[in-house]
Amino acid sequence: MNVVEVKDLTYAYTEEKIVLNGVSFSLEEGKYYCLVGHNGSGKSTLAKCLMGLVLRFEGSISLFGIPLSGKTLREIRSHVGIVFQNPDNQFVGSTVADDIAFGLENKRVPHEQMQGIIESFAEKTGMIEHLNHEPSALSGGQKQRVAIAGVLAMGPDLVILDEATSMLDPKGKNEILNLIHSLRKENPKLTILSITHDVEEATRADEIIVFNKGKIILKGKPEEVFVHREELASIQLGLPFFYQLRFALEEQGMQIPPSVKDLESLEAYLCR
Amino acid sequence: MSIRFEDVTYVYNPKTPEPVEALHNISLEIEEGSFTALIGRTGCGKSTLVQHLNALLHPTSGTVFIDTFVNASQKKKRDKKLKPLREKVGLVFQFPEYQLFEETIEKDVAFGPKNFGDSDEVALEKAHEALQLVGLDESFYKRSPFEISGGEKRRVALAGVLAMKPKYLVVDEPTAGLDPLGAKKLMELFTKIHEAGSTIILVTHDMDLVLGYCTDVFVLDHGKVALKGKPNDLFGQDVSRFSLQTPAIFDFAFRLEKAGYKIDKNKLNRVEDLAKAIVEGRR
Ligand SMILES: Nc1ncnc2c1ncn2[C@@H]1O[C@H](COP(=O)(O)OP(=O)(O)OP(=O)(O)O)[C@@H](O)[C@H]1O
Ligand SMILES: Nc1ncnc2c1ncn2[C@@H]1O[C@H](COP(=O)(O)OP(=O)(O)OP(=O)(O)O)[C@@H](O)[C@H]1O
Ligand SMILES: [Mg+2]
Ligand SMILES: [Mg+2]
Repeated sequence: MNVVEVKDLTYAYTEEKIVLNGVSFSLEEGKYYCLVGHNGSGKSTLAKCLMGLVLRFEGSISLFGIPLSGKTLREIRSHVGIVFQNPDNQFVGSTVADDIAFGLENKRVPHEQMQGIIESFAEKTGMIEHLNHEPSALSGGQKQRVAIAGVLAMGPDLVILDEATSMLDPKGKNEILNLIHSLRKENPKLTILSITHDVEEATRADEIIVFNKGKIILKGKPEEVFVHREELASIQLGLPFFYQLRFALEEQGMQIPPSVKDLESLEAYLCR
Repeated sequence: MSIRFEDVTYVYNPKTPEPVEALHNISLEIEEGSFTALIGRTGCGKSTLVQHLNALLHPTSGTVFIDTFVNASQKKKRDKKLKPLREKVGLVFQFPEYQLFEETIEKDVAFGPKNFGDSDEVALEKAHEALQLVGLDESFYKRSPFEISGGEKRRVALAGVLAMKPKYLVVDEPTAGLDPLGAKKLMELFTKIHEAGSTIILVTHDMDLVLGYCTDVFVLDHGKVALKGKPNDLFGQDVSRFSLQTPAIFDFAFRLEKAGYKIDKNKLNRVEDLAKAIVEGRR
């Protein structure tokens, strides 16, 4: 089943510039997608459209088979969680615990269950010691963890992450990505759309969607996308470490067989 | 001349039931002319530390010396020397939004130079030059800095500080939210500014940048300096206990060394260096 179905989506904030220019794609239930693209290519705007935060778009959007409109917004939003690019835009509670509780209250989660859920997600995101702290008085990475905890606690079926881990330390980033992958195991229907500039994260996606100037120019498995080295560079994108190293070795005159597809196989090849 | 922390402690909410000690007896020296990285786990105190460099925060105890400026506890808010300090030390915040305030992007970037005495015309010229350096063309000049994308906001905030050509350029996660090529170009720009004589202080979670561009590095942990050194030496040891990662280049070099490769890690900073070392290591 397709969780998201977008057809010919076009949107402009002002008359001068079209920001989304005929975007069509679909997302399958249970998959992990990464959306990559240069600054200003329209990624966050697309996320806003999917959340119904801008409604004056052309084209059509359906989520969970329901066409998005003013009337269906409430129902659709109850299944979708978004972590915004700036976590400060997300916080409503005066403490971390309140903040996570707010979303649960909106979902009418029974009170006796709430405390357990709050603690469980604060624990999973490493924020349990900060439950009584004010979200705005946390470090950058701590804010991102709280924003993620609040969204995941609601148990959405579709999670949109807009650069949600951009300020986490390397270990913290892995922990959060592992948490998301483990939630997907618990709930095979959980679909993830992660907007990111982190190409290493993108190598773990089921599919990568590449944006350029408000259009999708590539969509496919990581290994299908990252072979387009020159094209990606021409639109401000980079390559994961494995591909960088592979190309650098080839530039040194080394021939590497196509069967070498990741760092492990490269290591094995070099040490054979 | 340099930046020196002497026994600096900083406490948020000091007179409340829940004080937070973000920096604990920090002593360190950032040398003039260096390209210094500050790294460490989420919440270890990096952003708190850098806000002492232009006296946005004052130590709860201890002293920070920035050349001849003294930032100590109970510093008066209206210090005459504050303005020259802010001209000398340019700080780009972790969240650039909080740095933007004018109605157009060019005015926003021109604010600094104007504030420090340039005519409108010269300030605008500097603004345009800085915007070009961060990859924003004239179509952005008259737009609002609030109605642009996340990465574009960061570029505007960076331009605002670059336009002042500060002697100490302090950047808190400057590449977060930038597209990969934008991040690379920015690091090359910092390198150029560094080579022209400025001191760069970089807060980052990207270990590859530390290895690729920095001359010195401090690891903070729970508000204390846990390690310091040259990137190539520092990453020779296990840094995972500080929630950090060995840079990809070093990590792969270690794996190959186990299989008998000889790789000189003193000269290993970019992917190209590793590729060369591998090809030579095979001969
Ligand atoms: N509120 C707004 N009003 C007018 N134009 C806007 C507004 N927000 C964004 N834009 C413009 O729309 C385009 C797309 O912005 P968007 O935020 O979707 O980009 P993005 O792909 O998320 O970029 P980034 O990687 O920098 O976050 C950009 O050119 C931006 O300047
Ligand atoms: N305004 C504030 N009020 C109270 N505590 C704060 C405030 N800002 C930060 N803290 C706390 O001080 C400690 C250090 O925070 P700081 O922002 O310096 O960390 P950081 O190293 O920059 O982290 P990150 O990598 O996540 O940005 C953290 O425990 C944080 O929760
Ligand atoms: Mg965005
Ligand atoms: Mg910080």
